[in-house]
Amino acid sequence: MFSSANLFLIVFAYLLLLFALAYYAEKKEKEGKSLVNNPYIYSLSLAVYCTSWTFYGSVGKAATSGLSFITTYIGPTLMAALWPVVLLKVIRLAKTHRITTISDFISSRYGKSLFLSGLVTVVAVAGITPYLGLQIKAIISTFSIISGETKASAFAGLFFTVMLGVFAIIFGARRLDSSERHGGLVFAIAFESIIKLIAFVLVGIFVTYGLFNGFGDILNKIEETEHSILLYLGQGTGTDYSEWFALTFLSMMAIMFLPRQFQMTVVENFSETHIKTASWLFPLYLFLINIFVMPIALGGLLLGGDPRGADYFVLTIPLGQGNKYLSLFAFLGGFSAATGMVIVEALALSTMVMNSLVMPAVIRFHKTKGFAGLVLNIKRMVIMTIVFLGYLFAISIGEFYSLVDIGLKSFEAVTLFAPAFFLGLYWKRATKAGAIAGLSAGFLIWFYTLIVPAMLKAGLIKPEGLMGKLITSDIFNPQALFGIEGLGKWGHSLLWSMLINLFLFIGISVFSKQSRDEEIQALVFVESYEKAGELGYGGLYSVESIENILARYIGKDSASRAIEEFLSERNKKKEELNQKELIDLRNHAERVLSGAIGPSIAAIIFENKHILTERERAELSESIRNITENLRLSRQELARALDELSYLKEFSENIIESAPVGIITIDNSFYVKYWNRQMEALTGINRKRAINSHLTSLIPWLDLSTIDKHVDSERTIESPSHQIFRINISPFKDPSGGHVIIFEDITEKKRMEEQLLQTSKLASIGKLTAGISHEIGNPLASISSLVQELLAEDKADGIFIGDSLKTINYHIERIAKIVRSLSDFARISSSEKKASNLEEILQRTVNLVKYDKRFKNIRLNVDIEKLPELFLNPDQIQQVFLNLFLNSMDAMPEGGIINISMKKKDSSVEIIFSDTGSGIDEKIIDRIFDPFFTTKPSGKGTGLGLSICYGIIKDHDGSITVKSRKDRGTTFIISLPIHPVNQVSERL
Amino acid sequence: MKKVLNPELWFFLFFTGLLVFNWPFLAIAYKKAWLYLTVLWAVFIGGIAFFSHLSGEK
Repeated sequence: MFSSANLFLIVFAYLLLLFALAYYAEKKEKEGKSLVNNPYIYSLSLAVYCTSWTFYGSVGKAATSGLSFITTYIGPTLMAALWPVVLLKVIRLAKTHRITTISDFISSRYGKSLFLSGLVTVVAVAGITPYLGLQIKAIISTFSIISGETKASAFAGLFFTVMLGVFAIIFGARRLDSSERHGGLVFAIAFESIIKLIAFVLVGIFVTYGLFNGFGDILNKIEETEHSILLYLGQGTGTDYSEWFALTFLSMMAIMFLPRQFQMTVVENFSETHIKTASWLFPLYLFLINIFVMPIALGGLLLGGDPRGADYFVLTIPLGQGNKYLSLFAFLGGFSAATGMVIVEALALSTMVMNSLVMPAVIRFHKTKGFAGLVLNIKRMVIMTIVFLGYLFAISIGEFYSLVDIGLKSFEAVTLFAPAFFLGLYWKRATKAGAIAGLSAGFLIWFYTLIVPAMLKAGLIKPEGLMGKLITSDIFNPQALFGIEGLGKWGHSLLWSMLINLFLFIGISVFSKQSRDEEIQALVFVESYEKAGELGYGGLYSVESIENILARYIGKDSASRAIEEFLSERNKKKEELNQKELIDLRNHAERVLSGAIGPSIAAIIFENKHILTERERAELSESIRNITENLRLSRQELARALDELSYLKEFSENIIESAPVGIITIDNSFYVKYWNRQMEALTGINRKRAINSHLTSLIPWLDLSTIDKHVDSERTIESPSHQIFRINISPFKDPSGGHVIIFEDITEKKRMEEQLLQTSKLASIGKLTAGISHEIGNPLASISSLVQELLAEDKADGIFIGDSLKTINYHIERIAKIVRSLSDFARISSSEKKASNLEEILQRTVNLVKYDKRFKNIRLNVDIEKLPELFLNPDQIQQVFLNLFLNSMDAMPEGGIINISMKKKDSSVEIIFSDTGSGIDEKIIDRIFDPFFTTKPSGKGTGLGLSICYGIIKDHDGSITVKSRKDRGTTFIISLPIHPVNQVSERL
Repeated sequence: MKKVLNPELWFFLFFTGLLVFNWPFLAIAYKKAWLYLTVLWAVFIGGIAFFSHLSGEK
């Protein structure tokens, strides 16, 4: 035991050391050698999270509920994994807008709403002041344990409360600008973090290895006691899984939203790069400080300690073992944990209260003269008030609650900020009305489900009258709302407060409209916060007017410094600033003022009423409205257009990629810009290789010099591997020019056509055979009789034999001619086109049909002008003529007249082929070129003759038409183009 | 200057942590819960440190 006086002196000395360290750090900072500008100090300062709850309460919780105490530290560890993304954004926003508190951050997001800022502050103060009081209670209790004196402890508690308030004022509220970092404070907190970690670990080592033989020994021994259940989780143990999740979630939110955490992680952040280190070093700190919690708790129980007094095992175990210096060090560790929290929390809460609640009143009622001094003094008073409120709580009702219980209530309170905070960062449509409704409802549920039962327990309210009816009803029971039980106290409150909060926040946001300020802020926070400076207000400002406004609130020197800082950044003089820079200066001034008095009030002061005339304000307002509206519309239109373009692009690509033809695009220099999948299949060249290659290197057999001449037309080319392509070239509708070339592989089609033609020929031969057999039969009969005559030698003489042999020879030649004509026609024809004489082709055809017996009764009139040679396939044209002859002979079984004329007409040759046959019925004349259409009896015709004629003529770029009258004959008119010689040679 | 780590990977790490630090993994550990939590916690911190190392400066 230490006497009260000695202990008081030791603690006082420790506080003086803190003052000295903080002073030294500030001095170094002024010299430009900041001690806090490093990630390790930053990470250690974040350990302000570990309060007396961690130092004492965790052991108490572990001794009564087992492992669930870890959730308080696993939550921040998980959240730290998101810091490089989420915290980075928050810090950037806060620094850009000089935001210094969580209330200002949320209110800034929702159009700098003063009401919302006030609401957040009320929730934070209501939720956290008791927690702050518990720290003071811990100081008093532990002082009492170490000194063994209760009365002196109460006095010491009061004294230390004042000291902590003074520390917070000196190192946190010496200047008006809250956005300035407090290097001294941060350094002192980092130092305290080291002390509490070392103290706790030393006690842990003492218990684990001094009193027991390590972790295994403690675990083995506890397994044999009734406390073994503390090592397990799940039903029947101290912690079930739903409560485990609820506590983890609460601590995840707490590390982001507790005012002191916002102060240390965001406001005191020196560099964004420190986040990276803090994201693993801070969880590592939590890990280390918790590694001995279970051994101390279980060791205390094994040593016979009462679980109800387990909160202070850290002190009582070394004290009970006679190790008073270790217990003194442990006391200092716990003192560090408590004081760090009180100092930073008091500072953070006071800034919130000042910016959200006090400043609006001061601005309204106070003239600007002496403003800076007044505000600073008020802030100092607020700090002391908050600290004393905590003290009052500690000495009045604090004894009814455990550290963990009060701590978790404050965690639940700040968790209410989560929807407005997180959704506000990523959801533009979130509105102020939604945030206010969600937060208000959540706060009421928090109060009803957690505070009302606590007040009932403390006897502050009686379960009588309406309250009695409410708490006993099935629906409004504060610990089982709507009859839902089994979630645990924390899980139950969290479920309902978050559910209602989210429901109202999202629901009202969806159905409410944002003000202009909200729209701008939503855009700044969600999307373009890095360019926030460009979203300033326009207007006719002057440097002097801005400096004057600033000077009224933060003093002349600070105002001049702020203006100079702005000018030196741009390397300009006051008179050199243009209108845009004046607007930037005005925004800079607003941010400076935000740092001093909060963004809501700064926005009001700079709401132009102090600078602009009524007319200018109206113009400005209209201008901002238009810009915002245009921005919103153009963004919507852009998004819509982008959607449509994406759809069209995908649609077009799908078509092009699935097309059965090869499609490429080339630029004016014949470099390939697109190469579809079918083109890959046709050429075996993959797209990657083709893109940006010259077309010649990919398809060397394509003559590029003729591309322009064949634009918008088709041509057929054959590759060296005998693939036949029909290509179509179209100009590319792009300002830079180029072409789209479509390749269709018609090799197979050509082969089929040739087969069809050959089949048609054979069919024609079949038809001719009947007529020609007669023609062959006659000479054979003559030859036969003459030969028989010659065999009868008695009648033979020299003259007769000679005549007979001449006649035989004549008939043999005639038969040979017929057979030759047939075999010429039947041979497999070439697909090539060449310069040919139409008259010769007609003559060859007549030679073929004239032997048909049906032709004997037909008179053929031919009228042919002198014609140029045409570029055509003679075999195919002969097939056309033959088909027409055969049809005419079929139409004139009793004989008739066939008239054929060939004339040059403009740039083509017109062939008219008419007969005097039975004609074609008008009803079917439109169908005669259709494949397989025939008027002949079954087995007499294939229906392909005229269809093949049509195909052949089309293939020669010509046309074929028909005129006919029933019983008056039929006329076919064929037109074939005359190609100039050079074109003919090209096509060759 | 190192390449900045894809932000989605941080979210992946976060949700993985949220999963393994809760039911049913805790139920599987049951009687070894304390050991499981201690080891997993250390591994998770190592994971964050590894990702931080990969992420580098922006």
